[in-house]
Amino acid sequence: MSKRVNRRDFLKRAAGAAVAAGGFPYIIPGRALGLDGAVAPSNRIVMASIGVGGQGTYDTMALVNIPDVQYVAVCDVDREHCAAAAAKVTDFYASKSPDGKYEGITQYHDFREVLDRKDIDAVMIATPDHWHALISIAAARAGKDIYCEKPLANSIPEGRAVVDTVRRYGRVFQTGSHERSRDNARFACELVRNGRIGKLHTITVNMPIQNGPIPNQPPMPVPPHFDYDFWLGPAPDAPYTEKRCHFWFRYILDYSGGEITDRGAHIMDLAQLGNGTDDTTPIAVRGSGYFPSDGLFNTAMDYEFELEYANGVIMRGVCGGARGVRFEGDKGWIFIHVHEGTLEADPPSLLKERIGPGELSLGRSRGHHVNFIECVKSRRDPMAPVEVGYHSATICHMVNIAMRLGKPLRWDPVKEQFDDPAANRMMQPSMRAPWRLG
Amino acid sequence: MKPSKQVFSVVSRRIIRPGARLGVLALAGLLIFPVVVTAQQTPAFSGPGWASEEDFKALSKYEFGQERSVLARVEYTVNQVSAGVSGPMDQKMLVNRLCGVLKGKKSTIDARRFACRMLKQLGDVDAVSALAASLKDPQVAPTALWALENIPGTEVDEALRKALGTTRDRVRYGVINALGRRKTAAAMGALAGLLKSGDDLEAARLAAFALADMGTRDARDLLAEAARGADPQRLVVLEPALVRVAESIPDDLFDQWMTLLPDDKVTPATRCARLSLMIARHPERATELLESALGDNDDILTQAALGLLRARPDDASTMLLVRVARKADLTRHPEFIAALADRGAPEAREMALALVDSGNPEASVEAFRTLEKVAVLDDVPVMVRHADGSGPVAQAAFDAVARLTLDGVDEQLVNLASGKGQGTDATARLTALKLIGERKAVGAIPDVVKIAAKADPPVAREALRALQVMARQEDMPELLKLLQRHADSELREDAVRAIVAVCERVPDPARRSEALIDALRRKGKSEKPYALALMEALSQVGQPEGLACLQDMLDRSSGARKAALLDALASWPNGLALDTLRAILVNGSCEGSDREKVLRGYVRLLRAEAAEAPASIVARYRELFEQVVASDQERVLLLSGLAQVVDLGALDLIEEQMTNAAIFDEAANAFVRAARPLFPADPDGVGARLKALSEKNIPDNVRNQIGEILAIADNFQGYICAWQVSGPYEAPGKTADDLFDMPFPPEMEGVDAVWRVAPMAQEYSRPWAILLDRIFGGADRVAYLRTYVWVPADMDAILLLGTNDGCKVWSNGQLVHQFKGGRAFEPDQDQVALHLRNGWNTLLVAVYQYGGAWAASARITSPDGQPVAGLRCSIRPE
Repeated sequence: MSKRVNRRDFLKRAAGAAVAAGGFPYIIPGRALGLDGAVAPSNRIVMASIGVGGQGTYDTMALVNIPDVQYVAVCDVDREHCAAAAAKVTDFYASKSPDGKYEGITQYHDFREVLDRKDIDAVMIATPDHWHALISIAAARAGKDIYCEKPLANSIPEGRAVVDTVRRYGRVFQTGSHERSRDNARFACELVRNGRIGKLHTITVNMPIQNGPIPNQPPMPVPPHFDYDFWLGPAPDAPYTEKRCHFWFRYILDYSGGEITDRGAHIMDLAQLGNGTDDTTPIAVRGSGYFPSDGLFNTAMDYEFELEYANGVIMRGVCGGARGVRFEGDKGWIFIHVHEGTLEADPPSLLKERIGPGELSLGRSRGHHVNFIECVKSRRDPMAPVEVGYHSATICHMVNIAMRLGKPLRWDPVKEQFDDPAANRMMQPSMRAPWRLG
Repeated sequence: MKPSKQVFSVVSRRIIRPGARLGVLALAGLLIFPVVVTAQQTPAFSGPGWASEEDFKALSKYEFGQERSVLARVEYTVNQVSAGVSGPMDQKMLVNRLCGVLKGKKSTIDARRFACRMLKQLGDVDAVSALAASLKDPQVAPTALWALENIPGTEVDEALRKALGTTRDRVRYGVINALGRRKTAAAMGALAGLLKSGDDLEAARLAAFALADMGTRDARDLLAEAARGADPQRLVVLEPALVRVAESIPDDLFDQWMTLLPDDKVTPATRCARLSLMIARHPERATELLESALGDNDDILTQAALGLLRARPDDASTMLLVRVARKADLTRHPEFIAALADRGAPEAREMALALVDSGNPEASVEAFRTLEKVAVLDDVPVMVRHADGSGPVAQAAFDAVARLTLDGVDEQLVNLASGKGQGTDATARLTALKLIGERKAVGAIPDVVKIAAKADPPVAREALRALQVMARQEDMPELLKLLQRHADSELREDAVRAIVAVCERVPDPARRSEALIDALRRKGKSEKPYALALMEALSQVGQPEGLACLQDMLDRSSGARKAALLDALASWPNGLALDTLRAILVNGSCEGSDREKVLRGYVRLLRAEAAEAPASIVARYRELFEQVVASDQERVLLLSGLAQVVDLGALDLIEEQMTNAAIFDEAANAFVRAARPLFPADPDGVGARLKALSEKNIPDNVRNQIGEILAIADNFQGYICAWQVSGPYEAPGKTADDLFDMPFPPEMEGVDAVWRVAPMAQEYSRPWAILLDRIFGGADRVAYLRTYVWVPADMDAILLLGTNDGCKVWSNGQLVHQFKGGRAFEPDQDQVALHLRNGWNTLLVAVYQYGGAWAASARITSPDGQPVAGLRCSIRPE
């Protein structure tokens, strides 16, 4: 069961640990901006993770390994996940401690208790998609900086609410679309945006073919270590079956949007960066998808889609081929192999180009997680700030809606509305009480 | 490259409207997408089809875990109707059927929940009474609320208002949320009551939001009244809703409203929201508010204030930042210098210079980011000094100089690189040269050439690397002089790289080798090292003109010169050199290590060769086995290449090598690797050979692989796996649409085509899928698939075909089906009537590739969908 720790208690314990550990870096969270210099600020960022399954544990350990980060808590509605992640973090810190012990990680079941802790500066959120927005909003309202896995939200209005709340409460937000932090991807996008392939006219995103379909699954008893009702949260009531949850949730529309929002949130995100449209979304979408008519999974397995931007660029999405994004201009093309980070180009000599002084530079990241921590300190926007994550996720949702309705749609990027009532209805999230947006 | 207009027209044709099924809806579909649909086929992603009356009866009995196809049809119908598509069912009928399921006494919970979700999408007023009645059932109520929320009209408002008093817990919370979203004014009083009374803080929180959602004066007044009387615990609950109201309240009421959120009573996070709201409404007070917040003791507020300040580009904000930064200990608070760096404030220069050696890496990094924007020329040497080495500070310094836009930076760097600057050491010279390259300072090329010619080797090498990045075609004479000049092998390698880089930048491929060939012809007899370096460069450029030049020289060479030529040819980067290398090997015109080198080069190119027919590649290997190789080591090298050739002949040749006991294990391994993609095409023949191999004394890993391959047969699922493939075929400047109307050899009578066995089993779960994108890749091309089908008697049958993208099908030479356009792959998406003759029949399928995925699958059934008894398929008629 969780144990509440207030900031003062925590600091006492941390100071004690510092004495016991003979110089183990002690923690004074926050208070990084005292102007009088009276308080010596610590550079350590105190963190907790919410949602520590496979991806959440990966993110957690990436953050734990950053010297400037001190982890104090992990949270998951699956007690087995929570305990496993806590053990990993504890082992990490214990390995740094002279006596090989560490007791500073608290396990939580309810994210609201994590957010109540005053000593925590920032949270990492890697829950299933249908929780991203609610927890991000609550975290911002609790004054926490946020690293949240992609896609930023499970619907367009949820994403908008995250953007507004993060900005209203002045928090640093990094979307987990870490492909943005690859040097090669940023270089390729710089080449595109500096006109090295001429006028960009077409972007092709090669997306993965989705897992499945899998057969219908029987209802199952909920494992004792798993709070299934909390896992469902805002999603509709549904009988428990193992493959509904954890990794597989991404192939069920109530919790995610399939490969379109999963890997699409990486691949189309890079398309946005290269197109220079991070601050907006396309104006039209059409698509065709194969949604399995039987079995547990109901997200599109195979698909093709097309988006049109106000700048005239067309983005085509196809299923298969080398995974990545291809920018095609009237003088050449560049392909970014997403996940591998390698590049191809025509002419190949493009890849030996340099971005000169005075040209647009997109900057470089020392790693997506490191970049987040740097920005928590500097209060800069990180590589994938909240608006970027929102716009990329919005594109993914637009595609899914067009494919599900089976009709071409116009989209107003300012009003954030379709030209079609059915599409606008489909866009609206429904939330099981007591959860609500806002 | 395609001009954008053309691309748009192509991609427009690729997307096919799902649901535009056969005839009834085809016209509507074609009006939107100009897809050319011919013959009998169902367009891509046709969906599960419209629901029938029977489906609604079945729906009412649905329980989770059962077959879901009925749900898919109902959902498809709902989506079609809400998209305005005409069909067998209109909205009224559909709502009626769904309400019937919802109200049905025997309907399951899962069915009723599903009906609610469908009614949400339809948003029809006729569903209100059935949905309202469902609020009494806690298991269905949450989903019924979703549907009700979306239906306009006072009838819903009244139902929800009543439900507020009759429901409990989670359902009641849902009712509160729904009333807020619907802005039901009649419920305001009841909601206000929830703000103050009882212990249910969750209800209070949601009621506050509901009133905030309404946005009316009355709702605000009720909320304000509750906030004024709230104890601290309740105020925390109400705060987010109060902030929500403040975001949209009229200007004249704003200040009064903010008194409900007193700075000294709200949470730190709400103070942040308060600050951003105040600045948005009172921009004239922004500086004052921010300065106050930055001096606050609460770190959450100061962080938010800095974020807000960073977002303000005005001069007053800059001056505030400067004031704050001057007072702060910047080694501890680099965030201030970071904020100044981002806006390039000149006042930050002195502060930044003071921080470059601060000892705090974060402060130093921010200092260099600042200098990137505000440095003067005098600062360049300091920045270059810090730019050497690794780590974030050095990287920041390097990036800063690389991006400086000041006039004169390149000249400064040239001075440093030439060692002219005061106290400039070798390290600074190297860094300056790296920076010249990074900045692609073409104006500095003459100076860099001089440095490359005269400086000590380390500096000269760095100069050559800079030239590799930035030298142009007109600089080639100077680069060749450098190559001629340097005796040092490392310097020469760098010079070759620079020369090759310039050659590769020549737009016309036919002229890329020109300067090198010319130089080779003009070189003096005593310039052997220079000549060898030119040969190496020619090889790296890899153009036919260069190959011809080297071949010509080889015929007249011997000794070291010949060895160098063989080196260059053996490392040739593409298949152009295949025949040259073969001739050298077969003619025995080299020996020893030279021969081994050439053999390795030849096998490397054979492995990469895609254009040549597999049978021809196998013949090349056979020739090597029989006429060239002299050792078992060389035979193992050939086996590793042969294992990648998808051809039954490769299996034969590998099997022959198993008689050599010294290489038996390697041959067995190669056999299994070669057999895997062939197995689906000939499961009986290849399977028998694998089983026979497994009975021999083979390594365990090879035995395991055989087991895995044989198990693939369990996944064939009745699909045709015996295919030959020909292609890909393309035509310059032609799109896939153009190719659709062009004949290629496989469909032309009397014209030979190159066929190879199609590699199957690329995915274990669907070994029957022909993944052409993995075999060939590319866009705007077509590949042909051919199989032979044997049946025991004349019969009608159905070909179930799936292709991405378009396709044509010939049965016994007759075109029986075509689909023009792009689409995603769905097994069995087309149904084609076939008439098969007793004995062997030829089935030919063209699959057109527009881009991205490229795949196909096919199976044959009887007209009633059953397997055809006795049918078998083969890559060649037996």
